Amino acid sequence: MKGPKRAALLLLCVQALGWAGIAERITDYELANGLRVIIYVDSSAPVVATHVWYRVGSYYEPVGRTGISHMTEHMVFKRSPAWPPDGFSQLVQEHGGQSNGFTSTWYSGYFEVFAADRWELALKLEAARMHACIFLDEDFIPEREVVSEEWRLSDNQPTRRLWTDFFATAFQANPQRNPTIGWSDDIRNYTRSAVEEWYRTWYNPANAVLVIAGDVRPDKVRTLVAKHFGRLRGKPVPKVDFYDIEPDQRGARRVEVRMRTSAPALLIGYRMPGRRDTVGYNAAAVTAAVLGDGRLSRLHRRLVVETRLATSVNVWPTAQRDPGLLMLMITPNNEESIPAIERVVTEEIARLAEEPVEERELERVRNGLVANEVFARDNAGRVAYLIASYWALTDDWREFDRELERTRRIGTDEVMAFARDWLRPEFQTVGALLPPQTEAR
Amino acid sequence: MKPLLTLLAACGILFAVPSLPVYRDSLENGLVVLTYEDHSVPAVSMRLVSRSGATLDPGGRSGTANLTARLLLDGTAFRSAEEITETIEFLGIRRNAGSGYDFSYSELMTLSEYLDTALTLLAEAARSASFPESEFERERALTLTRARRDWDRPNTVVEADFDRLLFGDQHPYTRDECGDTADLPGLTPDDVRSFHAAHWHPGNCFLIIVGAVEREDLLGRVRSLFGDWPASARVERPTVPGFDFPPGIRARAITRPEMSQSYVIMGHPGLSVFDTDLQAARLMSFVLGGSAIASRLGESVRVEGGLAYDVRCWFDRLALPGAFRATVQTADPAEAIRRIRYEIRRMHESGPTERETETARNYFTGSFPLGYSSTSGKLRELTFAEAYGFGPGWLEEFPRVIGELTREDLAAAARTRLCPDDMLIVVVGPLTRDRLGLDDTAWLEE
Repeated sequence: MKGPKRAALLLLCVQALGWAGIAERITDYELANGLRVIIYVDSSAPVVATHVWYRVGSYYEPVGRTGISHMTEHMVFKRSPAWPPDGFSQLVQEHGGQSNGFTSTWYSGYFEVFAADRWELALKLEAARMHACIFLDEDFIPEREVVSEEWRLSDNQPTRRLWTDFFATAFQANPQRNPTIGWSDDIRNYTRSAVEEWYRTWYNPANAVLVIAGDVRPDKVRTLVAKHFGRLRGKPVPKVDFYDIEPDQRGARRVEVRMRTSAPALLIGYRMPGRRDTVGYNAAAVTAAVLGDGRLSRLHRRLVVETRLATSVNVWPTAQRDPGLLMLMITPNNEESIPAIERVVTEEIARLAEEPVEERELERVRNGLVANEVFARDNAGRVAYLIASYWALTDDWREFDRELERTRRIGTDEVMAFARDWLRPEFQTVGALLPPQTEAR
Repeated sequence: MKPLLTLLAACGILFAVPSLPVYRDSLENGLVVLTYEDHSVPAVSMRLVSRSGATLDPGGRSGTANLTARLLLDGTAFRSAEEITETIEFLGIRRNAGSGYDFSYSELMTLSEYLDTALTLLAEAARSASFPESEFERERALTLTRARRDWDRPNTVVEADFDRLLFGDQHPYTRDECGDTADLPGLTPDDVRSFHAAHWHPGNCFLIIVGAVEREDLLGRVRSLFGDWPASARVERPTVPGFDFPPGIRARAITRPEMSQSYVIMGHPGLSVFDTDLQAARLMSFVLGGSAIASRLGESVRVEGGLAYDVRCWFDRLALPGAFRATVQTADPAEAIRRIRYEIRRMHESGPTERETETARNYFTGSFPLGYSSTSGKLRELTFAEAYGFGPGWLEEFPRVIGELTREDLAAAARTRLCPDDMLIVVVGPLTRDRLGLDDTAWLEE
């Protein structure tokens, strides 16, 4: 079967079995208190994943309080009427489940996965986490030390240190410049009352989504959700939006991290649009794949196969709600290769801006992106995660379904326009992890 | 635990797993085929596993098994690496490969409609992989860079030192599964060609297929592609010498003044995956340090002490006896080590409580099906079951085995498998040995 026909078949298959199936299996509604509830039925395994995500993360934090969302995430496992002190995880274990929490730039999320015959416990626990956590100094003080130790874990890993310094260089005003865990001085200066206030401000039904995915019946789920969450009070949350806050970048930026390392690393970032610019965002995703997804990608061919300047290349879009960065992560063969690598990157980007991309190359890239979407849906827990993340990042889980269609519409014109408008030398930030320089004589 | 749950568990109905669509078939040439039918998405994953892993890397040539697996789909007698990559990437097929100590594997994940293409590529690669020089150089360079970067992580420094001191220089577990930085530059395409010829043949391999397939139909396709793959002689598995572990507490401190935290690993010889008390020891170590929060070590070191973000312990699960290990990363290693040693001794002397045993049983039986609800989880668990001879029924057998374990079983494992008086401790960090408070220790030079 020849290319275009094969691609059309692929898309047909995905549309028939993937997207339509997802939408048909979803029940979506909102409680009077503002809690968005999304139920996804997947009876392929007797398992239920329950996610509750809040729209709060490092993006929302003022100067001096960086990382307080992450600290709050630690504290909301400590104490509530629904579980014994520090007994949250043990209670989940006793019922044969798994649970965890995570904080990102844009959201704080929690989940439990249980066998389908006992998943209601997840609702009980998450409802308590939403409104009834108790903050005591005796819990807070040692937990602040735990978070300091978590920060030191990053500090001692050279590549993590590179990422931290890179984002602090690429952004000047947008809070994406701050690490999710916060800066170490801010962590040391948290107070229990400040963390509790942060919790009271952001944790409430009107700022949350509840996703239940797995072997459930929607009518029964509705009853249980009403029982556990219906009486909670929703309240308005502060509006935080820094979409346009970042000053225009007027020239390339550069940062070096010199630590004990035996393998240099190179990060190159270019400004790119946020998700509110739907054409720009998807053009960035396709462009990233043309440059660096797979062994046939342009930068892999040039840097790894032809010139052997690098051993690996990865390119992907990081922008989520706000304009962010199209990232290139390259592993140079050695420090001396870096200038030549940067020249190749510049050449390939110029080529993208000037020469149309052949249809077959675009088709390959789009097929890969589509197949990845299908693979990602192989279990209810993963689907729950994706639904919640689309809610958090785009305000509407249906964007999850629209992603493919938008990707399919990206052609060479969009890629060329994106390369011309965004992949410009003055929008570039470069970060390099290098071994320490020879000590001064 | 609530009385009702206890009653249900006692009746054996709480963690019942419905019969799974898992099948084990053998072709005449000895190739075992495991099929897990799962129609939740229109996709199929296939993993070909050689029962030979890094343990069988030739002396001084660590990384051979891993590179063989990773290069399997990079050129065959019939297609160039470029042609294969073109096919794979155009159809959106994803590939993955790697090696553990006891097995190595190459896998493809495809949309269902390209099942035949993917299976054909895998069969062709298994039988006639050519390992071209240029692909070999590329993959070796990538593996070497990753191995070097691993050494940037303090965990790698401390773990490698611990393994070398515990197992001795000649033991395979002292070598990295993916290859040591000292060995990888010396490997050649002939090394992987020889390893492929000796270890990738139907009697030493099994094929796992997970996804939207019907077993009968699939077997026909597998038979047509793999059925005349010639059988070969059994793989010789050389005897690995045991290792001596002197009694007493021994320690090594590696000073790194630039670090802001110390990395600690402590432990002693453990057990093999074939030992009959493996599951009892696993549950016992879970109670002791299976989680950084809900375990005795987590409670003492993290929750009460605020000393670390992560603290845990486990037994290696490998064919040859491995290690029991406890790890922590902390700015106060002296206090963390003191607490960990105290908890190991307490577990050794008294075992877990009834309630802790019950919780561990519930967690293992209840969370086990969650682990194989994804495709990658199914591949992982079926690989484990087949590689170590537990059989395809293992997914359903496991809850029963765990459900029968008693507090006394776990206490016996604690008595025999934990050795609080014979311990090896390695620390890397901004410290000197006198800051560790280890008065009863024989120090090993850095």
